[in-house]
Amino acid sequence: MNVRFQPRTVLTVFFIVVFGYIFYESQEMPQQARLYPYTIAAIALGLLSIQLVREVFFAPVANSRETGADVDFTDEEASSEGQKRTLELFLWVYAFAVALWLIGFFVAIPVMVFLYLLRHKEGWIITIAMPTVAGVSTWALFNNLLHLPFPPGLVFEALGFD
Amino acid sequence: MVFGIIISSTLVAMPGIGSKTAIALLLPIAFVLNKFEAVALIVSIWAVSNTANSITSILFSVPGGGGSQATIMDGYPMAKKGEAARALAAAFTSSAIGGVIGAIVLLAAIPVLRPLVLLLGPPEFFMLVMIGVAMVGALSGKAPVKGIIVGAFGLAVSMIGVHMLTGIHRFTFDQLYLVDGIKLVPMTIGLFAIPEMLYMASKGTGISDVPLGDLTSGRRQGIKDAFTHWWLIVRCSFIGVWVGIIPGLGSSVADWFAYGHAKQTCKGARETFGTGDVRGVIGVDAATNAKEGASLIPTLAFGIPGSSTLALIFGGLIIVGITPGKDMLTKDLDVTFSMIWLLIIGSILTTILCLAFTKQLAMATKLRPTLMIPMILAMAVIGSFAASGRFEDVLVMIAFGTLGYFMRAAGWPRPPLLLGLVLGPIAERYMWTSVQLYGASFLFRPGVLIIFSLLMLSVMYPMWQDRYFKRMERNVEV
Repeated sequence: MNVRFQPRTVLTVFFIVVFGYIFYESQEMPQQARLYPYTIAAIALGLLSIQLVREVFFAPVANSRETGADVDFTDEEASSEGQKRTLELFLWVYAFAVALWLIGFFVAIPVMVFLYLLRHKEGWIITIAMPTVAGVSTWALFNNLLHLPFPPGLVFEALGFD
Repeated sequence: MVFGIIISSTLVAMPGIGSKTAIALLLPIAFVLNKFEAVALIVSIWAVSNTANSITSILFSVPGGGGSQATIMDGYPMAKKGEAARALAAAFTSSAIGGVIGAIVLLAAIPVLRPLVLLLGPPEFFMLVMIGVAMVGALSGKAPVKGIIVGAFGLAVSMIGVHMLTGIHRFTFDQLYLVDGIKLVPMTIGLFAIPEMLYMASKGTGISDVPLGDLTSGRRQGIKDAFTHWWLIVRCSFIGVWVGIIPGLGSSVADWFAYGHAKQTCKGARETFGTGDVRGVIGVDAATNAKEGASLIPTLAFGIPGSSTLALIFGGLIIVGITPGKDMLTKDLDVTFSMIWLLIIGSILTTILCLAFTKQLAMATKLRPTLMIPMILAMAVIGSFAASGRFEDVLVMIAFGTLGYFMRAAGWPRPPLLLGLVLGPIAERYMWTSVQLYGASFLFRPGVLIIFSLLMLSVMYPMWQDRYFKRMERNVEV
């Protein structure tokens, strides 16, 4: 019997840790609060054991990315070029979150749109028009019309802007 | 309603965005509307989902959603023969008729469902909720065990926050933000919009470089085709209704069932289907849209959303103060009837708008990912923040976006997670009430045992389903 540890088994282990924590943590709770998480975690851990055994000992490597219930992971995404592009976008997303925290929504949104278009060498008209539209609509539609309480960002807060 | 239809038609027409992402991105707008306006917006976004996605299937052979895969079989060959406008018009018209039939079935089901729902107690409802999560997990995928585990993970996420009966904090890690629990909107946006955006980025190029061609001549013929084959539309609509009533059997099942039925029953279909026969398009689109109305039956009656899209609709309704389930057939009956009529009007209006603006909607598919990605990212962030006006919502969105990407990469279905989150609090309430009323013996009540048997069947069924589809696919190929 072959033992296969595939990268995707990491996710199975992640779920085992989550449900293991729920199972362990719920033991300290009063019965009313414990019953439900305890039951769900026990069932899930049972199923995860089956899944882990299948992945490690029996799982076929081919087509194991197919879910049927979801958009299947494509070969383009799995390719090294696809992974490189994915990693870059992940970095954009995380950097954008940091920018939102530091300089707030009103500045971070147009800046992100502008830099992204600049990075991908879009024409100057689009590179200027799209961030303007994004910034104006954030301010006019979401702030003024829908009254979303956007935080000013850490930097602007420190400078005394509300 | 018109605003919802126009915006969501455009979003749904873009391959890779899909109805779930469109709903998640537009749902925050519903927060600022009154109850009936919000219901109109939510229903209109939903009504669009199975109509507009035929555009990319027919024009570019790229399915716009789960229910438009079989449309490609005859829609794309028709487009290649220069009959794109005819195929689109036939698809839109049959979709509208199917949508109306599904809504009428729902309307007719209400008098039957009301007494049935009032007969059931908390133990039966608890098992029904469990069957809902398990069936969506098990039936809708090729990996039933993974589907059920993800459903359980959704139930686990719903446990975060203050426990409603005891007031204690569960799994909050002493974080104030987590006391209110994980919000549906940031989680959904993260789970669906971020991985779809990553998918677009990994492709690098636009969806299609194929010229759009003439999308006007032949439109009248397409509408005429739909009415000529009205009996096929009725038959396929009832196939869609049947699929819709069973939680977990989504549009991707309805379209292939309808296609198979049309191929078996239409005269000369064995020779012409797959080469550009309009009947192949008509049957599929009628079934997928008829499914939508029927899928509201378990949602309204038992509080079980039959799909992840419906789970989102379900969550949206809860946010605006409407609880799907028993209440919708008793004290909120007016909302239920409003929803049904909105669905009928929405289906017709969507078809009219899609027919009028086919070219403009098709142009949405030509947008480059480099233009779409920053705008979607900005919308995702604002939409998540709108859930409760806290920056942590954005972090939740990004965390679930990362998880969603890795779930896709590892072949774990995401929709059951959404269903688990929505149904979790309801399941816990029913479970505790059942334990208090009957103790552990609630598990041995006849109704519970019958539903539990169905639950077990639903777990076993995918194995049979998988074999059936493989056989069917082979037949279609032949």
